[in-house]
Amino acid sequence: MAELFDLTVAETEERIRRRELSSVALVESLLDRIERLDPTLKAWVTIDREEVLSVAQQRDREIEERRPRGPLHGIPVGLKDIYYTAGMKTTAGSKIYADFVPTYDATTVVRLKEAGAIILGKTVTTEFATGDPSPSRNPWNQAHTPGGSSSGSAVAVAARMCAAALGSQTGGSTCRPASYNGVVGLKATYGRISRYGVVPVSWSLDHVGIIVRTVEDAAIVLGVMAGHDPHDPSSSTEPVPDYRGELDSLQGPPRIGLIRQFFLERCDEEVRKHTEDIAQRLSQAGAAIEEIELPDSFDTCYAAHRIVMNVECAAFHEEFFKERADDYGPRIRGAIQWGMLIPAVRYLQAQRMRRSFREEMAAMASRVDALLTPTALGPAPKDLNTTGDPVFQSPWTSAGLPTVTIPSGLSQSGLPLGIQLEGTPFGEPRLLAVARWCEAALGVELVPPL
Amino acid sequence: MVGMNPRHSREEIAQELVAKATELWGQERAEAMRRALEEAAEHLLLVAQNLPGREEEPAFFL
Repeated sequence: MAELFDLTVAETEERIRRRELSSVALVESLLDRIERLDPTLKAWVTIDREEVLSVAQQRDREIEERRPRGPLHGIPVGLKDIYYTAGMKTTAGSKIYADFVPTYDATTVVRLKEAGAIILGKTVTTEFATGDPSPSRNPWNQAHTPGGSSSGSAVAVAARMCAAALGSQTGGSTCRPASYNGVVGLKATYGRISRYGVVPVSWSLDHVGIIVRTVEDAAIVLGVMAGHDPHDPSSSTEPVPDYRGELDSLQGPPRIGLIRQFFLERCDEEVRKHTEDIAQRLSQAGAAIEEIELPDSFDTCYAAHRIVMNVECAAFHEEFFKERADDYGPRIRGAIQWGMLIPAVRYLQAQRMRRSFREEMAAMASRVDALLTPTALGPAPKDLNTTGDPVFQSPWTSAGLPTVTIPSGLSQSGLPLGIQLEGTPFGEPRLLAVARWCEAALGVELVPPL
Repeated sequence: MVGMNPRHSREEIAQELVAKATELWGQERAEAMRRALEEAAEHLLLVAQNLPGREEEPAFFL
């Protein structure tokens, strides 16, 4: 019989609804697990144990009174420590924000609470969600990076300290750590989920990320958080579909576009063979696999992405940086200074290039039900001074297209590997349906040796 | 203006960036950034050589 900490969001939701499980029992199980594992794994920054148990008791009363709040009623969720939480420290992994306590919740946090979720605590982020190393440890092998910047959230979900956690992605910071830790990561279309109340890296590139252990769980959490937010100028007014309800909506096996160009040329040989093997297995399960070519604009997308990201990061940090440059870690400090040197005209050219790049990438994605690439160049590198290379996520982040990574197996060194599926703008229903189909076809569930 | 001379090579752009960094933050800091600034020079050159079509507007929020 599964331990309480092994339950997915969907399994927990069902048991709580049927009154077979109390939120208090679940929270106690998770807090005990955190107490046992976190001194080593360092996934968490802030947990208010008393408050969490108090909220769990409230959720149990509401169930007794037949007043469930929503699809996440009584379910503990972790938040990357860049999400504003009223009355709770939000440090952004930085000395600059070390004592910052927001007076309001991020819109995503409001929506989680309205759906009945319990905010379990704040998870580790690299400094200001950028490229400096993470103090968190990979539960599969502590000598290997857990990835980043959403390291704490990915580690917490993989180590069964919670079933769901929020991350973020400006380059590759949700899907890459999810893959390195053997869990599911979802980055929705830009504008699908509100960025209001999230410490920014780059306003026009930032995406809220969802880290869970199944595609169904990703659909549940997305359904809670998606939707227009007037506080966020980039927030889309696209209607929110029933993501969970449409998971089984495929008429038959999917058409999947495998991108060998760049992705299978750049990755490790082991990952190349693994991805080809995965494509073969999906084909044997009934999927139609076809090779897809990248548009010419792909060649310049990384340059445009880096220029936009570093200039916007510099703009956000300019005021703090004037007085406290020495309080910044080396990589974010370098990114800010890099951004400050870029001429305004080049930033605007990069933003113009992104528009046409997005159109071409969306057209490419529309030819099939989903595109398929490896999530990362290889398994998590054996180097605690890096969070890995976002090169396989940055193009999709720059284009604002939705992507989901699912675990696909283990490397020869015993570390998780993932495949990444990519879709059309606001095409999350089909993307998640394809991901669910692939998840079932591959039958991979990874549990770290803890 | 740094990086805007259409006749400059990648190396010349990188030198401009290092010179500007030296002016702003001192020589030691600029040298520590040299490798990153060489990457920046490459990106600036790539963008300069692939300017979008005249009709293309920027999309800050896609």
